[in-house]
Amino acid sequence: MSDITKTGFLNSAELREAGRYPSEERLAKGPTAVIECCQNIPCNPCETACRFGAITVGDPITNLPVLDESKCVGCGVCITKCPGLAIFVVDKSKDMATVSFPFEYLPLPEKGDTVKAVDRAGQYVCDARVLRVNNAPANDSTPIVTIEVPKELSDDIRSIRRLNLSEEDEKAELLKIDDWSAVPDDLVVCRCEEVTAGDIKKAIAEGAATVEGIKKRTRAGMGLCQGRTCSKLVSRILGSQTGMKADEIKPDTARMPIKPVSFGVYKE
Amino acid sequence: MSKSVDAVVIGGGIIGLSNAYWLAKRGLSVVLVEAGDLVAGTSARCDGNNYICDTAPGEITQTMRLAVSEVENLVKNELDEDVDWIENGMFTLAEDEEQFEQAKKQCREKQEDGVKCRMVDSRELHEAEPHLAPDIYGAIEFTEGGSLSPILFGFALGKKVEKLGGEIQRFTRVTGIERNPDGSVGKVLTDKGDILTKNVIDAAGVWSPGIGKMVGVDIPVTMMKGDILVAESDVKVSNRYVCEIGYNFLRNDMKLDGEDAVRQKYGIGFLTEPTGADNSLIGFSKYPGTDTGTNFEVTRAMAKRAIRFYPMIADVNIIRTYAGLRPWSPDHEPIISKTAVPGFYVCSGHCGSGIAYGPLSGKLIAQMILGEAADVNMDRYNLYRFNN
Repeated sequence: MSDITKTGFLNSAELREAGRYPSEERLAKGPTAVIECCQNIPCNPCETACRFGAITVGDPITNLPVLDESKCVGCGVCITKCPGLAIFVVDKSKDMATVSFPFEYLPLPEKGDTVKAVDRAGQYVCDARVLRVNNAPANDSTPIVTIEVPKELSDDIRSIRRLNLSEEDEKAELLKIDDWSAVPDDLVVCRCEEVTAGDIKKAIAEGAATVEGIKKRTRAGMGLCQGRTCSKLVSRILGSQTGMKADEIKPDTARMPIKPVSFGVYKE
Repeated sequence: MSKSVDAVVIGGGIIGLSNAYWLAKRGLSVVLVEAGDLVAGTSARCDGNNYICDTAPGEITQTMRLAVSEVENLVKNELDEDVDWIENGMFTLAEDEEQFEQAKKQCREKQEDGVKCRMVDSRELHEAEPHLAPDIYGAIEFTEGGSLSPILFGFALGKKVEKLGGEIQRFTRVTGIERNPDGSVGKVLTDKGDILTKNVIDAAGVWSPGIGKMVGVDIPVTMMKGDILVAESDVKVSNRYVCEIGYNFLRNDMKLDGEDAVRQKYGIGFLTEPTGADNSLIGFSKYPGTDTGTNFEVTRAMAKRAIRFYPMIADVNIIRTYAGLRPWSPDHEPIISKTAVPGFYVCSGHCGSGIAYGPLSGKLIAQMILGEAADVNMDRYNLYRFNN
C-alpha cells in the first residue's frame, strides 16, 4: 500500500479495493471513465457534465463522485470538466488498450507521435503511440490526448512526459524554460503595488539578497494579495540574477491574516 | 591584513545607520556591520512618526524637539531619496469631557515648552476627520514634526553613508571584540574578517546586550513588543496621524475586567496614520515579548479599539499584521553613552522613539568620539545612571 499523503495519489489496486475502479468486464466492452477523485471537496462539474447521468455526486456536494458504469459511454467530456484533472478514459476492448487523459502543456503531441508514457507518479513506463489529440473549443483549453498502450499497463499509465525527452534532458529543458534572466524590465511582477521586473532587478543590484529584501526596497508583495501572486516570480528573478538555487531562496514571511479580512470580523 | 578604521558601528537599523551617517559626515572612516540586511529588525516593524505629543515636560520635551528637527533636516536637506515624509499635523483625541480637561493640561504644558499645539473642539475635529466617531469630544492638534517610512529612511541613510565614504558590511556577524592590554577597544572580529578600530558603537537595538557582553559591559535593554495592523490602500481612514489620550489613564495597578483587562494586559491603545503608500497603519500594543509573530487576542483588541474611534473601519480590510520588538530601557529614555571600556559606546534602548531619536543620537555619539561638547545634557543618557 502506498501512502496517499506522501504520494498524492491512489494506485489502481487501491482504487479497486475502494470500489472506485470500473470492472474488468466493463473495460473489456469499450471505453469507460475512470474517476480517480479522492478529495471530499465541494465540487461537482463532472456530475453536470455527463449527459448520460452516469456520474453522481449528490448531496452533500463534498461526496466523492460515483460512476454508473452501465450508463457511461466513454465520451470523455468529464475529463475536460474536472478541475483536478482526476478523470481518465480507459478502453481494453481491443488487442492494445487506449488511455485518454487531460494534458494542459505545450507543445501538444501530434497524432502518430511516439511519446513516453508515464504512471501516476510521473515515472516512465513505456513508449506509446498517440492516437488522438482533441483540443476542441468545447474542451476550454484542456486538450485530451489518447495513447495506445499494452493492456496490462493501461491501469497505471496516466500521462506522458511533457517534452518527450529523457528524464535528464527534460529537466534541463524545463530549467531553461524557467530562466528568468531575460525577463523584460517593463513586465509587471507585483500587480497590487505595480512593481516591474526592472524595479526588482534594480533592487537586487542595490544589494537585496532575499525575497524580503526585495519587498522592503520595492514594495513587491506588500499589497492586497500580500505576495501570493508575485513572491514566486520574485524568487525566480532573484535566482536568475544571483545564481541562487530555488532551495536556497527563503520565501517571504507569511503574516496573519493571510487573506484580507475586515476589521469588523474581529469584533465578535 | 585586517582593515583599519576610526569607528565600527554594529547594527544596520535606523540607530546604527544614523551613527554611521554622522561619523562619516564628520570625516571619520567608518564601517557599519550588520548581521542581516539593512532595516531588517525593529526599524522595519514600527510606525515612523516623529511628533512631540506625549513626552514629559521640560528637558525631555526640549530634547525631543531637537531630535525631530534633526530628522526633518536630514529628510529635507541631506538625503537624496524620498522617504514618504508626511507633514500633516496630528490629533491626540479625548473621548469625553474628563479626558478633554486632561488634554487641556497636556496642551498647556507643551505650549510652555514652546511646542506648536492647540485645542480643537468637536466640530472642528469632525470637519478635519469626517470618519471619526461622532461622540469623540475634542483633541489637541500638534503641528510640529511628521511621519516617514522607516524602511525607505533606512535605505536612504545607507546610500548617504556610502556616498560620504562610509562602508556598509551586510550579512556580516560580529563574533567578538578584542581589547588592547590597557583595556581599550582594539579589534572587531567578524565572520568575514577582522577590523582594527579604536571606537565601537553598539547600536544593535534589542541585541545590544549581547554585543555589550563581548567586552563585559552590562546593558539593561529588554524587548518590548508592539503590534501594527495594516489596512488596505483603497480606503482613507484618517487624514493625519491620530492617537488617543485615554491610553495614558489605563494604569497597571487598576483592577479591570473584560476588554479593558485585555487592553491593560497588552498595553493596547489606539493610533492610526496614513502612509506614503496610502495604507493606514493601526496601532498599538506594548508588552514584553521576544518574537515577532502576532497573536489573535491582541489583533482583535486593537481592531475593536480602532472601530470605537473610526466605526467605518469595520468594513475595511486588514491585509497584514506585524510586530516589532522595541529596545526597552528601564527609565524609557535611550542610552547614548561612553562605557567603562574606553572606545566602547552604547547607542541603544530607544524604546518607541528610535526613528525620531536616531539622527540626534548619532550626532551625540559623534560629538563624544570627537571630544566635543554635546548638544544636550548627556547625564540623562548615561549607561550607568541605572546603578544609583
